[in-house]
Parts: sequence; C-alpha cells; structure tokens
Amino acid sequence: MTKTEFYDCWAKKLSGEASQAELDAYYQYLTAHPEMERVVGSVGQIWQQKQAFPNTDGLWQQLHANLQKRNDWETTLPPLPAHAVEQHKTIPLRQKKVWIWLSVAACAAAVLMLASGSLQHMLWPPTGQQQQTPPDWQNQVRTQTGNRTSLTLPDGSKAWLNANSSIRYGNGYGSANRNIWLAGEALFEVAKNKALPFIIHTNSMQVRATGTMFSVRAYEKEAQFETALLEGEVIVTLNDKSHAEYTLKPHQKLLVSNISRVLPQQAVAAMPVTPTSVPQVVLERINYQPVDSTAVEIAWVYNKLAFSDESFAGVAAKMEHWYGVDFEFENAALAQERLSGSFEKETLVQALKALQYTTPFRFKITGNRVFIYP
Amino acid sequence: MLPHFHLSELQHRIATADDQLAYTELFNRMAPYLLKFVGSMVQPKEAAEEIVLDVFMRIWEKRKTLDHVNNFKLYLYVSARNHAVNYLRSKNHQYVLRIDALEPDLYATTNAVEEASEHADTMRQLQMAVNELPIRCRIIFKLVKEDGLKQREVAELMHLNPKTVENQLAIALKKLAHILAPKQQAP
Repeated sequence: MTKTEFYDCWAKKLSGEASQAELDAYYQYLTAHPEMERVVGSVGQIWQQKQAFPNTDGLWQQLHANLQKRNDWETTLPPLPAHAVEQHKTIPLRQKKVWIWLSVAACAAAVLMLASGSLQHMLWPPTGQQQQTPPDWQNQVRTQTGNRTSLTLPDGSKAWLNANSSIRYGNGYGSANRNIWLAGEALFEVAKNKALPFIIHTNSMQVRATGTMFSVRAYEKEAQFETALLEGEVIVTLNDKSHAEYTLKPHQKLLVSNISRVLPQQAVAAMPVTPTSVPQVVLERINYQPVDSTAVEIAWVYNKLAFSDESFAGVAAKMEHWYGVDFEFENAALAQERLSGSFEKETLVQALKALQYTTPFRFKITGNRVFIYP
Repeated sequence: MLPHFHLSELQHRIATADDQLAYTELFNRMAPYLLKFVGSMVQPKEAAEEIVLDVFMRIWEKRKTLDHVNNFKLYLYVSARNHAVNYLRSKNHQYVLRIDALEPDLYATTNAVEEASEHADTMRQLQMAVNELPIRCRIIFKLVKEDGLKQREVAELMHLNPKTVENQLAIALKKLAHILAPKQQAP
C-alpha cells in the first residue's frame, strides 16, 4: 500500500466507511510503519473531541407553539423538553455524576447479599409484587459469546439480547404478569399496558415500566449494573433492604453496584463498614454517537462495539463478551484509563492495536486470555 | 428490526404513524447540528433559527412523503441548505459559507488541556493545525468529523465530486501527520 492509499483508508476508517479489506490494509500499513502509530493515536484523540452545539430549547418552544396551531398536531401529549443540548455537550465525567449514598443500614445488607437469590428471599421475604421467586423457567432464551438475538415476547414487547445473556419468563407472562428475569444485557421495547407493569428482575435491582424503551446491563460478573432509558419512564428499585426507588427520565442511565457479585472471601472480610461499601447509585447521561446518532449504550444492537469515555476495565468487559476472551490487567492504574472508540469489523488484535494508539499499553494473548500490562 | 432510535426508524414512525414523540426526538437529536450548519451560512442567529424552524415545520407538513426519502440525515442537511440558500437569495445575498462559524472550534471543548505536558502541547498544535486548514478542506473535515456525514454525503451536500472530498480529507490528515512528524525524528 502506498502512503497516499494509506491516507485514503485512514480517512475512510475515521468516517466509518472502510471495508474489511481497507481496514486490513490500514492495520497492515501501521504494523509496517510503527512511527505512524503515535500520529494515528493523536489525531484519533482530536477526532473524538466534539465541539459544543447551540442550545435549541427556545427553538423547540417556538416550533411547538407553531405546531399547536395546526389541526393535525395532538396537543394532549405534553411537549417534551429538548434534551439535545445536554446530550451533545462534552461534560467532564466528574461533573455529570451525581452520587447518591444509601444509608449505612444498607451496607450490612450489601455484605449479606453476596449469597444466592434464595438466601436473599429468606432474609427479606417477598413483599407484594416487589420480590417474586423466579418461575419455573418454562421459557428461556440464551445467547453465547459473540452472538446476539432478538425476539418478540407474547405481549408484543420486543427484546434484543446481547452476547452471554439470558432472559426467562413464566407461562403467565402477558396474561397474569410481565415479569422477566435477566442475566446479561438486553434492550427492551415495551408494549404499552398500564394494567400489567413490565418488570425486569436482576440480582441487584428491578426495572419497572409500562410502555417505553430501555436497556439493562446486568452481567453477574461485573461490578455495576446499568439501566439506560431511551424513551418514556422507568422506575428502578434496588433489591437491598432499602428498596430505594429511582425514576429515570429519557436519556438518563442509572448505574447500580452489583451487590451480589461474588467477591473473594478475603475481600468480603476486609470490606470496611463505611459508606464506600454500600451499593452505590450513579446517575449519568446516555452517550450519543454523532456518526449515526445511536446511543453508545445500545450500539451492540447494531453489531457495534462502542464506548465513550469509559474505563479500560469497562471496555475490557465489553470486549470479553464480544470476542469471547478474558482480560487480565497487570496494572491497576491502566484499568482506570479512560477510552473512547467504536469497532465494527475489527478483529481482537486490530481492536487492541487501535486502543494502543491512544493509550500506551502492551498486550499478550495466550489462548483465551488477554494480558494487559504497561 | 432495529430500535426506534435510528434516524430511519424515527423517519418511518413520523411518516406512517404521525408519531409526535418520534418527531420530538428527531428535533432533539438533529436541531443542534442543523442550527450550527445553517448558522455557518446565514447571519444573524435569529435568521438561522427561523430557517431551522421552517425545516422542521416542513417535515411535519410533508411527513406523509417522508417514507420515500432514502437518506434521511442527508435529506435534513440538504433541506437546511436549500432553505438557507433561498433565504440568502431573497435578501439578495450571495451563497457564501461563513468560514468562522463553520470552523471546528476545538478550543471550546478542550479547556481540560491546560496542563503543560508534551502531550498537551501536541494536542494544542493539532488543534491549531485543524483551524489553519484551507477553507474547503476544513469544512469537509468538520462535516465528516462533527456531523458524522459520510464522504459521498458531504460531496452531495457541497456539490463536490466524491473524489474531491476523499482527496481533501487525505490532505487534512497529511497536514496533521506532518505536525507530528518532526518530533518523531528527534531522538
């Protein structure tokens, strides 16, 4: 490949138009010209930085006033506020976080709830609709590593299931209830039915909706569970003793620490009884990608692996499901590095190399394990 | 089937179901981009806002025909461009792209790069290099980078040959690479 061809391929990669052959050629050229890696990395960083956009709230008010004068615009629907401005702003991560500490009482609960779901029920017997035993698992859909699927549920709701995930529901689903047990990650488009709330059960929380679109990420191995709301409204209830409830607005996502994650025994013993060990709840905004305005949180639905200002550890967790490998960090600081990016057709090695352009690290692949070291 | 949040899904919902939520979402998603784009052609700000307002009013009025549109995102940019050109014609202005408004103002989002490190220096140099790109080159760079338009979409929007867009992007990247080059040769 000539230098000129390389620049064309690079431009196509940046604009998201490179074919598999062009991508291969691009990475090949970089391997042959290691001096270009730093260049590609620095320009890639500039490319990720987005400019500020004008506020359009006032414009929406005006547009809405004009539309209301038309007889084909239903005014019964409340006008939604324009969220766009905030979405597109680049907000430093610390500013957009709202930390909500739960009570110290919940902390003890957090330690106890490391046990299984059944123990959980013994400790806190079910109250009303809040806690229900998983049904007989009559219906189960499961995906393997690197696979995704979608299905329509008996009530017409739709679900997209990411890799290594499963959903289960009983025969009463759609008639008596709309309870779903989720392990892993899924996007739901819920058919409207005010009488039967749609409830996603996970180890650490429940997400309740009546008609909306949202995604839930609840991999048991991971430290945090995530609920991202795209449309409508959902209520997230924690499964700990506090039963704290959080109502999400569109474009918000709620991160809840996974209280039932199985930690090594020593770690549990060493866990200090301070507010730092209680379930943490973080409210953030959904990240939209300018290329096609899809949310990073649901990029997997489009067969994309995307992340925006996420920790390397978080990115590694996504890549583990994507590529069917396990990551090991030899250096804790490295796991905290913030990364942004989007992969579609890249192989594991190509993706790792692309990450290296912005963050210096080395990697070694042994069988199914990827070792990351400085 | 893909979720609603893809632009084409919004388009379909608006066209076939008079879906006001989809329309609101479309506005939230696209109005900031279109306002910035129109603002690069039309001043004052109020005039640019009026144009974006017209674009969105037209989308609702003509929603039944939207399903025939192949590339909805490009359609929005082209409508915005056409409205802007009509406005300028009515005011007897020339169709001139205002370079300063279209400028990818990278400074706005990079206040964080205050620290004095070699890396921060490099970033500042790159930002300056972007701002010093030739006008046409800079606009193309900006439409691909900030607005996420495909190369052929930029070509159509700007009435350029697709090959020109490709070349201009390569030129932009070469210039940026050149900024970084001397440092590499130093030991």
